[in-house]
Amino acid sequence: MIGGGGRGSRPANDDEDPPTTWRGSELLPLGLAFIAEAAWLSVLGGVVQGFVKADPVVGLLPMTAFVAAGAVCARLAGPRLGAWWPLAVVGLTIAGSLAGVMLSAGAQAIVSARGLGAIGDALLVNLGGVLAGAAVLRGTAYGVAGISAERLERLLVAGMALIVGAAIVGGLAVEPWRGRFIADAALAALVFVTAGTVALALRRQAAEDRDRGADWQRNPKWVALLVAVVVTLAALAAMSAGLVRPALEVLIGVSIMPLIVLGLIFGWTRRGVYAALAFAGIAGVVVLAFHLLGGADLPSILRPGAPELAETPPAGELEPAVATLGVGLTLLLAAIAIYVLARLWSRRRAGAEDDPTEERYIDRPAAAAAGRAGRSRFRLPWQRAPRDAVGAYRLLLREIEERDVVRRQAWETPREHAARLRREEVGGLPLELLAADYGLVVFGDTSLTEREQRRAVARWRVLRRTLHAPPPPDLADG
Amino acid sequence: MPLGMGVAVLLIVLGAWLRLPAIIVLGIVVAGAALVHSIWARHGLGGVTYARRLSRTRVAWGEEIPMAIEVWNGKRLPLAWLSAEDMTSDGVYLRDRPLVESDEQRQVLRNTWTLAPFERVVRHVWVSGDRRGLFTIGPTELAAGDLFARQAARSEVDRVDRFLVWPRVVPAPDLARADRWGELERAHAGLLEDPTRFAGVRTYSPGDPLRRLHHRTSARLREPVTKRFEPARERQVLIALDVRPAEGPYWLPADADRLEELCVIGASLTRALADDEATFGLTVAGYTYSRERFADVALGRGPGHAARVLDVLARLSQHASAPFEVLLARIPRRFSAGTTVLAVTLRDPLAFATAFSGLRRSGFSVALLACGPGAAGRARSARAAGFTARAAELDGDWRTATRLAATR
Repeated sequence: MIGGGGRGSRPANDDEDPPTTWRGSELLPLGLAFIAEAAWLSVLGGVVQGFVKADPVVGLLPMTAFVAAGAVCARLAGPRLGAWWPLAVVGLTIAGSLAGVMLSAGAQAIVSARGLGAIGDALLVNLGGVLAGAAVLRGTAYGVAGISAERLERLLVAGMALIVGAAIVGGLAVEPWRGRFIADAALAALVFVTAGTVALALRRQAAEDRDRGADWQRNPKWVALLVAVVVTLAALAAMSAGLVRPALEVLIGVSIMPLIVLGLIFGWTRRGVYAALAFAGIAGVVVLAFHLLGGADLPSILRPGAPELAETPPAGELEPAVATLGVGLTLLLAAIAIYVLARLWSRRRAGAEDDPTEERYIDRPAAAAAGRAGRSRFRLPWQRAPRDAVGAYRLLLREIEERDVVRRQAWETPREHAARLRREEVGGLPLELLAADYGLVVFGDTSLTEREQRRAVARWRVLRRTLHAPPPPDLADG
Repeated sequence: MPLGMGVAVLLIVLGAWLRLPAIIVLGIVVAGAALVHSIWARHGLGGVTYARRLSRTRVAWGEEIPMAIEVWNGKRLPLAWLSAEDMTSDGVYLRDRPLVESDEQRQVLRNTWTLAPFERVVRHVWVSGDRRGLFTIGPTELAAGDLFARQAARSEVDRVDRFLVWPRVVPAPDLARADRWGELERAHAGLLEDPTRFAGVRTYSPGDPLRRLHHRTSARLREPVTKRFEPARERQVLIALDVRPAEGPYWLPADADRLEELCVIGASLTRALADDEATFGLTVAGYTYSRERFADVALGRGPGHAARVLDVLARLSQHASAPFEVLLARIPRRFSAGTTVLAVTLRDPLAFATAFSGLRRSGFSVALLACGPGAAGRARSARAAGFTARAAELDGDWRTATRLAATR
């Protein structure tokens, strides 16, 4: 399960004095946690609104704002108020609830017409708005105690249980509110599990970072893969949510007969059951793909007596096309935003807090490097050129990796490599100068001027032409 | 079936049954997460290499050994974190990096990295021991997090690195010996005196042999004076170290600080002898991480030889393996006659007078070096009993002492 124990069960730095600001690396998981909190609260709000037969007013975004407001208030005022803080939390919660209720135009109309004494009637118009107070309350917890992996694990587990429970209860509402609730709940569940998972991953990772060697800003590739996988999972979930039921029906339908036959032939071995399930799984995937591509349904002979595959889902259920387009686009945009932010912070981190006792570099084995070099040798015009001497030198090494004659051997320093190529009249002075620039920056801790960097890149352009040129024909070959 | 996948299937089936996409969505994402976790559980530590490199394996107390810890993620999967917990023996310390207690209440060096595909990280640390001894680092427990930074895989690297911390060495100027002057080998000071090189007189001190009295000068000055001779250069010196700091059964562990003090004295003597280009060896009744009860370093010379002696002193256990007199009694069987046996002890040397006499009868010269509190008195009584004896004391705690002062 996502919210399982594992390493995350180790105590994080939660028992320290309450800080008054958040660290930069905390902001992204914190923001995602706010969104996850808002998501499950909005599902609960939807249930309440469904039963009072009103449309939900406090959606995902306002709810997120309430959570964030609670956290900011707690972070700023909590340490200052000291023993008075619990009382202030009560006040903030009530104020949040009232503000949530008053977000409804109907509630505003009632209060403006009949005064504050009619707040009870206004409450009935937007009862789900009361949960904005709960959002503020949840936010204060983040403000006071900070964000930890344990807290996020609890949020994911409890939040999922609450969403499941709320979805079941909310499904009992009458139409048309039921349909709207189901659609909103599906979206909120998607947002909840996506934001919560990414936040938890970042926080768990930060909890492991006890010695500044493991903070996520050092590993943008992991962040990128994490975001990509979570977004893909979410998109897959959004696309297939409406198709799971018919697919399951097909899966059960096609797996029963093979199971029985195989069981009769071989006995009920585990392998037989696995084989049948695999067969059924493949069949299910084929059905799903067929359906998504707009093909005809499978003949009903496959599942006698079963309803049509392409039956119209009940009102309010997610249409696959709508889900794919809307949710997919939203998730994609969110993913791009997260990744861009992560890259920016990674760059800042890499420049600001390099550990002098640690060396980091990408060390591809020969096979992988050769494959990569093979790709990069045919660099397309729009692919990015190196921007500095270090990048230029490293890219050059990758590009010449496949050529035994000119590639840098494992035992050679950059200077020795350049000197050898010059002796062999291959590299010449540009390579020596580029290697010298590289050595100055990497080993000499010297920064080059912008002009020197440009000259280094220009040397790379020359060298990649000269070093890639086919070797002169051997005289012996005639 | 893993728990996560079970929950996912349950959610998907429940959601499909109730026609609630919200529950199906949760189920699918949980299933995906479980699938991703299983991938990292299987391949998370695949291609990961972990290595420690100590730049040397011996170090003097107070110095540090540079150690490089290298980790490489040799695959295409990134690792959210990779944690390495190196078990360390008691007394290991690292500069700027405190050791932590593991879940099994053991002292470990914990390092954590986040690793991109094919990323190699080399971390430089400086390691040492808080006292002399043999220290170990390893085995190592590796753990890796999956894409969601949850622990996915664990493995153990069995490799154990060992390093020795030699006892502290302080200058022992009073025991310096070599002094080449006019083609003659002379010495400033020493445990033994050459009776053929008369160097003057000094005031009599209790315990001086009566035959050393310079009668004429004593009569002229009206106070007893003793003849003084130039120190002799011992050709071969065998240091016999008495591990027991106090009387009592030999198998009882010695007080750690007293034993450390004794080892500092032994190491300082060794260094002084090596600097003098003397031939020297060591014998001690203690365990040194081997099956032998006694640790012997054969007579030899040179800096490499000093390192061998220091190795034994570094490895020396807190428990004596045999009584000191047993150690002394086995010397004639192990070492050649004519060697000067320098017995270094924190106890009263006269307790071993019989063994010393036996050594003399076997052709060995015997010199006693009484150490610790009250050493001067014990040396005096040993001299009165006819042995060549001196007292040596560190001018402070073994951690802070600056010299080994020898007195009569």
